Amino acid sequence: MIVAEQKSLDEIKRLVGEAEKILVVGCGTCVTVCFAGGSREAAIVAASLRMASRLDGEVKKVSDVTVQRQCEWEYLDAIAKEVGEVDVVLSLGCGVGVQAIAEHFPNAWVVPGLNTTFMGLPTEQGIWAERCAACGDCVLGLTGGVCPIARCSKSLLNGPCGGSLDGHCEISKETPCAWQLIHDRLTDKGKLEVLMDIQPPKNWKTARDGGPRRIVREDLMLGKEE
Amino acid sequence: MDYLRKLLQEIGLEPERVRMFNLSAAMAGQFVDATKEMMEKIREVGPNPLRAAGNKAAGVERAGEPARAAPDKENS
Repeated sequence: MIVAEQKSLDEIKRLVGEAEKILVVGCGTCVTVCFAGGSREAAIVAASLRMASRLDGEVKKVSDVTVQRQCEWEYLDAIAKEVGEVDVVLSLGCGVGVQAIAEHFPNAWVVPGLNTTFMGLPTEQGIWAERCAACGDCVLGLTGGVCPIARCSKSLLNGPCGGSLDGHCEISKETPCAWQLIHDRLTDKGKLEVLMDIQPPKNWKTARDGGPRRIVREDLMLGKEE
Repeated sequence: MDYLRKLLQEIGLEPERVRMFNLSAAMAGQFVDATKEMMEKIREVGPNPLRAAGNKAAGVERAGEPARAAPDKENS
């Protein structure tokens, strides 16, 4: 899932500025699961803004609504009326959701309420960890299902650096060395010989380094009948 | 509870306005102590500034409103 964290209320207050009518828009997908921007969080942020503005001597009308997915036009159509009635939309979606609202409602002023952080999973209650860097050329088949791009601090492809100590990365004892995990897993599976293949330098053009990415699936496109 | 207290602080309210006590139905004495403790604390921090702010916005002045821990309605 996409994992995000809420911005501080101070920053959110600065972002909404002088706006009197505010619509907080939650998203029912990834950010709901990571407790950052679902319907519950949208209601809490709206109530917090109402209380904070009252204490600041301002009168702000803050309402909230949550859509199933902020990143698809059809779900955004459902809130067109509410968006049209406010001075600012505070999106509690990921960065994709914020941009989807801005793109779908050109007349609306949209600000983010979250910091979109990474793609990952909850490793235990209350802890999320990065698992995928969306490099566009998956190497998990070579590494036993442990990603050296997202989980190795240096994104190394041919084993650990000298900073691997007792299974930890040199950046923090909280960070397991990805190459230790890869080695342990391949050993466990009896496939350590996979590591004997030296990986050539990775082609980063498929990652962000190649610029904004786009996927075109002509078989799924509408209006092209044979 | 930590989250809620942090939230109150961010909003501009005193975090000590909310606290959780774990009590069973058989702990009447501790319940009274906890209630007294909270009443003292709320008297110390004063009336809810949101109420004053709301009244001000609505043009209602309540000068010298006494501090209290419970809402107006009794038995609510």
